[in-house]
Amino acid sequence: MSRLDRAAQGDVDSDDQQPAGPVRAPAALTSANALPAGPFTADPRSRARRVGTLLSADPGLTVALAIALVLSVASAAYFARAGLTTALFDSRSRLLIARTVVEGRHAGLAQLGGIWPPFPQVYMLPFVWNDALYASGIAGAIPSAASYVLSSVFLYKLVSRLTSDRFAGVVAVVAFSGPNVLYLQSVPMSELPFIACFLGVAHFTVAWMLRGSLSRLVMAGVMACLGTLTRYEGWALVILLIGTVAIFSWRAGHRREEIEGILLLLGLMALFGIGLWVVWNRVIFGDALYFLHSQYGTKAINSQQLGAMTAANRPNGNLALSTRVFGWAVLDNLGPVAVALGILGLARLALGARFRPATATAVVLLLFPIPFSIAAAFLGVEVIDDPNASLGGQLTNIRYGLLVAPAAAFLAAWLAQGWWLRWPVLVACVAGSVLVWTGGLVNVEDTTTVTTAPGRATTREGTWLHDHYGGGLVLIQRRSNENLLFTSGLPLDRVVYEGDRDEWTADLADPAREVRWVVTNAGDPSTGVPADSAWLALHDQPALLDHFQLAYQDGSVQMYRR
Amino acid sequence: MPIPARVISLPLDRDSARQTVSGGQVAGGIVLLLVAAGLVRLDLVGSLIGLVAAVTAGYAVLMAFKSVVTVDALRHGPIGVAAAELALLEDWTLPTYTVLVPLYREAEVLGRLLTSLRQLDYPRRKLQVILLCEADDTDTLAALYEANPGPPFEIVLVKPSHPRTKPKVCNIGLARARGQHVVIYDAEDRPEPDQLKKAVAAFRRLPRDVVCLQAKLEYRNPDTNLLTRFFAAEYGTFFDMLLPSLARRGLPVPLGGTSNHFRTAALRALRGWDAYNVTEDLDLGMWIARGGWRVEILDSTTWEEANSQLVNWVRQRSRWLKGYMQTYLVHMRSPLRLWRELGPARFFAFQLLVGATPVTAVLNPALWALTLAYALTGSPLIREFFPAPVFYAGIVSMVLGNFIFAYYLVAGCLLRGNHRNAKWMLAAPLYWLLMSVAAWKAAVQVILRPHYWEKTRHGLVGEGHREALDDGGGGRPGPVPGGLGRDGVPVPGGPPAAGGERPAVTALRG
Repeated sequence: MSRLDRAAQGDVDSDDQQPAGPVRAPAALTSANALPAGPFTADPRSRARRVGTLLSADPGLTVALAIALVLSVASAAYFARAGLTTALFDSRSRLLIARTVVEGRHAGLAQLGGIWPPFPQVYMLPFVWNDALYASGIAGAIPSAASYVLSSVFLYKLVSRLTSDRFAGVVAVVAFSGPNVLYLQSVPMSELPFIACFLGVAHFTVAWMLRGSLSRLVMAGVMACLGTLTRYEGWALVILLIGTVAIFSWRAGHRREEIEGILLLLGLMALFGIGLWVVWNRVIFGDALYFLHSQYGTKAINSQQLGAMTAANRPNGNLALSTRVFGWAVLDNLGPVAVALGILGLARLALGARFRPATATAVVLLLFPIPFSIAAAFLGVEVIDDPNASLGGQLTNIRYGLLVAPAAAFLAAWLAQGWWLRWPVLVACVAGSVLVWTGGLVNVEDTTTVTTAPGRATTREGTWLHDHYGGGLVLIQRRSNENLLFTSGLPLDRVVYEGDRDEWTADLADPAREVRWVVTNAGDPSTGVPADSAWLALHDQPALLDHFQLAYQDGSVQMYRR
Repeated sequence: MPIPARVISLPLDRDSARQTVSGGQVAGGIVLLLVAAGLVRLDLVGSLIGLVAAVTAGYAVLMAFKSVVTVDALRHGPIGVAAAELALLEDWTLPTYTVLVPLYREAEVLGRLLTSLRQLDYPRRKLQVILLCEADDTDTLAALYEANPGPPFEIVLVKPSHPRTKPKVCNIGLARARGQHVVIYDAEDRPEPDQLKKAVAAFRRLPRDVVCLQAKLEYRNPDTNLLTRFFAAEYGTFFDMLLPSLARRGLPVPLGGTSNHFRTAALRALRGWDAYNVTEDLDLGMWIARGGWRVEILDSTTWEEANSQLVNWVRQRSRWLKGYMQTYLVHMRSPLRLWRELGPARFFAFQLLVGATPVTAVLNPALWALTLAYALTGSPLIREFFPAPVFYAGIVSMVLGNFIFAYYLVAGCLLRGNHRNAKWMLAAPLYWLLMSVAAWKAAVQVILRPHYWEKTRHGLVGEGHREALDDGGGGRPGPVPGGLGRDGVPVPGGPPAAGGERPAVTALRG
């Protein structure tokens, strides 16, 4: 008989609380029921239970989540039916980038490129492989919509935690859900993913301040890290976050070495995304700052856009104009009622007695897009234009004003605290949204000014190519020709573009070696759209004219067929 | 009640490290070598590319596994026992507890050890402390006789014989144990006085398939030098993050060598420790998992002395890594049986926890050298072995892996209140380099001297550090005056924090 057999029969000491009496074997030795559950079996159920518990414990969160979900699905469906899902010029670029990761002549993560931070495109990867989701733009709208819902949850929790007023949390979600937010959450863009990141930063930082859990601080760092990989505004947010936490820790009386440790834990995670992006640029493009000063980098694009503006409309170097332009961008995106509620909320906050460091931190973090965008416009690192701000101006990147939506919603909710103001503020929020809706969505208007700008290929050329393609490889620069490429619906493994690097260079030198179609675009200096590389390399060159015939010309675009 | 068959079969054929490799493993190794030689002869470059790809994939999987498991610690901590729960324990209800303390050349630290053990808050008549001393260790014996500790201490003389290992001595102690629970402490250990009671309370609360509680180990001298800073952070990551998460997921838990509290019946059923394994704790943790039982982590600390001398550290670490190699070879004698007993998830966890640890430590210098050589020379020869997907996966693994593991060390510092040491963790690759030195030494030793026990010298740091600990100040992470303690509980006596808000700086969960 083995020892275990004896143990099973009681020939062992017992762990019973009784000092005397018959001894019993540990139950594990006698009962199959005591065997542990298999690894990884308990977690999903407990996770679902946790979510269930969370929702039932906080009816306000359930209401906020329900509002966000309904608005998200309804608005995505509405804008898809209206044909506006891929109307924004950049949305097509982002879809194309994501698609070339999974389909193309050199498919792979390197196709994420080195200009736009990659997270929004990576976020699309689980959906973009599907032809229908890709062509309709839904593949990119899903991440935006999910980000909107997540933003609403963060906003609700932030407000309800700081005000101890669940109704105010719901007001915040309603105030946040203006028509322009709902449009941007229905399209493949980076604004909503970034808003989710920076609301996450505010939420977790405040949670750390109030609850003292390092895991919250790590999560604030993770959200900031994702923010840096979503939009370049995130880089400034990280600096602000680290500064804010440092000041708070110092004021809270922590010792120097404690502050040092806290900042290291936060900073390492928050700055990791920037480090990763720099390494990525170095490894893939051989230049750590490729995103900044490449041919299609932000610097080059900004100078082209600024060059196309009249001197009086250029905000760079003009602080008053920068402020005015961004102010109008905010007003156009949020509407006058939301802006007024935000200002009143700020006044109530500043004059109120319940002003705490965590509240101040939330406000500072949420309001950061205002000074950042004004400074960025002043320094020429971002180009924003609004016809309301200057004579002869036209809508350019007007959606940047939307980044103030979380701050406005937070402040409106702050104003709504207390039974006598909650309903009036809620009604005002809804009325403000109706007003914006009836006045027309500025970001929808923006789609037409950019996508139909002279010098850019349009959907017309894309449709033509779709109808006349007939097979073979197509040599085309993606930059400036996104409309054409996306609308043509060409299989991307039949397209040679600048991301195919060696093949692209070889085909530019001798297109006849493998391609059947060559697309060139002369661009238009008046709109800041430069001539593309194909035009620069092949225009009037024997390598093109000896083997290809001009099959189509419209505006700046020419298509040659062999 | 029926007993699960795999539990019954466990003690009957438990393998030992007495024989480092089995005949089957030798045969398997020869076949593997022949296949490799054949592949190399067939296509040298292709074989090397395949090897590089396999190693890269292994690193990526290991990184993902450790990241996922460790980050889970954000939600799960060790098993805590509240003071109120302890207060409810009445002495007459407590079971007999046996404390095993193997001693070898520990004359210098004996006095402090006896003081610590006397401070254990447990009824004397229900406590059995067995001091296990080698009969030829005259210095320790002399110190013991001079101290003349008396009850509940029992001195057991162990006749010198091969193998001269701690587990052999512990087995002798286990044979004399009268307690329903048994715990093992090392000579330099300073367990928290209420640890035994906490273990009893936790055992009562936990399911009976939890047969072992591992108390958290923490160093009392993290600030001695750079080595102890890393060592302390590593322990923080290991005991506060990795082990609780492994335990909650039901994965095999590598025990920590000391402060393991067992249900004695289960430990006897497992036949104690493998006398030939130099990391008998790790081996036992795996057998517990194979038996279908579990380990949990107890939220009680045992203070230890961090190894502060480089040579001494390498000796200790090489023994640990040799033990990992021994344990892997022992349990992989019959991979199919291991798969059957552990199930797929725990089987893979075993591969990554026990197998990959020494392998990566051995391989790291080669991969670093390769990376460095490529960065400096851009050699096309090296590039040839790294086709694009392997190259990118390797870059991602290297950047993410180094970041994540250094980050965990930073978290390990903060979790244990060693904020001032966090910045040193940015130099973690130096520590990993040392680990590789130890791994190579271990690899040589596992072939030449598999059962040789590299004795770790204790008492390198003066007891001044202990006094600081007793005071709750000095070099140790005591509570922040006027702030919050480890669990976010306010510590009285200080001014209120600005704005009424002050985050705890050590509590990870909340």
